[in-house]
Amino acid sequence: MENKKKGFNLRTVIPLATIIVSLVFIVVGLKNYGFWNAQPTPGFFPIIIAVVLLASSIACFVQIARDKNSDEVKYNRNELMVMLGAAGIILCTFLIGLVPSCLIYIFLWLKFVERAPWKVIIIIEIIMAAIILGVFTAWLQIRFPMGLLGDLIF
Amino acid sequence: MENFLSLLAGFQVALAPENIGACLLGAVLGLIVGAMPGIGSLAGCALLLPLTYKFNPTTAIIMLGALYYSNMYGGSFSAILLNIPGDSPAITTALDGYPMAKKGRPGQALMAANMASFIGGTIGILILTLTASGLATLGLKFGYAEMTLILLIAMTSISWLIGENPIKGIVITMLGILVASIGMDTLSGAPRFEFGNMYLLGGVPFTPFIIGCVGFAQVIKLINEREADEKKRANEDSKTKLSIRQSMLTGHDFKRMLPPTIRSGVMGTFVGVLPGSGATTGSMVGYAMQKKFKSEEPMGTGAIEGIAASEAANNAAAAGAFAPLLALGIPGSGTGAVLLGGLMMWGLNPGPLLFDSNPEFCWGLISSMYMANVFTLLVAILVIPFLIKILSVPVKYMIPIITCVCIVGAYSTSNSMYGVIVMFVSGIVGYLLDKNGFPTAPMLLAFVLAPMLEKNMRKAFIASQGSLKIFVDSPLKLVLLAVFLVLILTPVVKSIRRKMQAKKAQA
Repeated sequence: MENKKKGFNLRTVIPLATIIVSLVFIVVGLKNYGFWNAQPTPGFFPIIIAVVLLASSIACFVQIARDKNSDEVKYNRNELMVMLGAAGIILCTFLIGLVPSCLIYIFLWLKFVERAPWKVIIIIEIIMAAIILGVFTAWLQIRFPMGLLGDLIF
Repeated sequence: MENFLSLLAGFQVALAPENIGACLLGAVLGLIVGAMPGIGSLAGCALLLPLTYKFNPTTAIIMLGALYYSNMYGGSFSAILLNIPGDSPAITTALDGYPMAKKGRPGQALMAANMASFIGGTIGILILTLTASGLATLGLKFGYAEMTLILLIAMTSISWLIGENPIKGIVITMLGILVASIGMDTLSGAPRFEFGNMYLLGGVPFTPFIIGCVGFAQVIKLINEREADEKKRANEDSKTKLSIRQSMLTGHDFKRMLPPTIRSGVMGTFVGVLPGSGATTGSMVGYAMQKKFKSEEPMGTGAIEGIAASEAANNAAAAGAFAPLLALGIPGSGTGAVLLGGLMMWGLNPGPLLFDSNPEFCWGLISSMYMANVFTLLVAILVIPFLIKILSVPVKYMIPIITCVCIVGAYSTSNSMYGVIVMFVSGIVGYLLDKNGFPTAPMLLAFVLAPMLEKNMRKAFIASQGSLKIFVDSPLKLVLLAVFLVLILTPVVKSIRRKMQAKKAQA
């Protein structure tokens, strides 16, 4: 609501971002890879695409800015929590390894976010451990990172 | 005749024990993942893609084909029992499937969906058997310019068809192409747009990118469906029990569903062959077509004809989509793009030459689809008594599970945390795009097709020494160019007409 008062439409963020991306590709492409040198150079195709992206992004920006009827995009805290949860696993992987990070995350999420009963938590933990260790580690022979702690111990 | 001999040879490949096992495993996993509400065939295939890495290319792609196929079956389960389509092609199935379940015939509704899927799929695979190699032979006559135009048509049509807003479709398609251009130049192999980052030298890895854009983005969205899911489950009769015997169709049921199944099966296959359409369009066209025919009960009130039309069309379209994928290297949908990416990872380049260079693979895959169809039907029938249990996993418990599967899957395909970071970033980007009404499927399709498009376009220009005439110097090219222009201009003209009509109405 506040955004509307300030006159800034959150929906325009995506076309603005794609305008920036297209400009970066045009500038870097022209500067480093060229466009045409008797035949198409490595920059030829990306530059054409970036120009089309720039034009369509501007059109999209104008279209969204003119459209006063559509609702603002609403983001909620829960969505951020999912992202933070995944980011937490990635960060913890460097410390305690990927498999423990995943299992701890599942426990924390189910216990404190979903308030799941212990029985459900234990079943899901066992299933996930079986999938990760059985399918990925034993069958697919994936060596998951152990993290600093794991490297110190093993 | 030649096709059928090749098909028999294909069965020799498909009937190898490891291929039968992979096909069965794919059918079971695909069915379970497809049945989970909110995941769908695209995310399902992306999430299960890492599991195929253990196999040789033929076995892997047979498993992937079975996964894709059984996902289509699975999507109808939650649509019928919970009124939550597991996948977008199952939206039309829910229109009659759920009311039929509410009328006390959930088992028969599931059986009708399974039988229609099987018959529709068989029609699709038969047509694929007859046409795929012919399409490949036609494709052999295509030069760089023709392929460039065909790839442009494929990209254009998908962006128009998936989104309501053509401009957003173009934006997202172009973004997908630019992401694909990061790494190495397709012709010279020189580094390009790596921005000094050594990880980017190898480009954006395909599987983590797909898992992120589709799987992780889906998890972020799922969190908003928790409450609706809880409410819906609270209203469901949790004591519903299903058995195979209770689910059997009567002769009268079968008589009612057979004509729409055959009609929609044939029509769905042709919809699936068109670049950019896919199973969702197939099921919608099939359902819309059935409305024009007589049904014993009104459509939308639990008519078995509606379930049959929708399911037969979407499975036939799924099979039909393999024709341009194998013969021309053009996927018809986002899921097709995942399959194409899978093929490329194993060093197979789908296109006109594939039928010549790897006939055992092509025919092995086509024959395995017959096998997958039979296996999936059997598994789908056997799983009926356990469906209530599979579907009773609440969305809220699936969130941490799928998040971990995304992370573990992304790591296992790249063997580095770089893959996990790509998955995470592309997941957030995919979620933001989706939230703002930018469909992500065209981006995936563009990501997969871009290297082919660039290679063909540049080679066409090199061959013509920079002249644009190469794109208009034959009747075939003119037709392709006309189709491309029509696809680009139609939505624009429609949009202008809509605005003019709105202005007139206001005046």
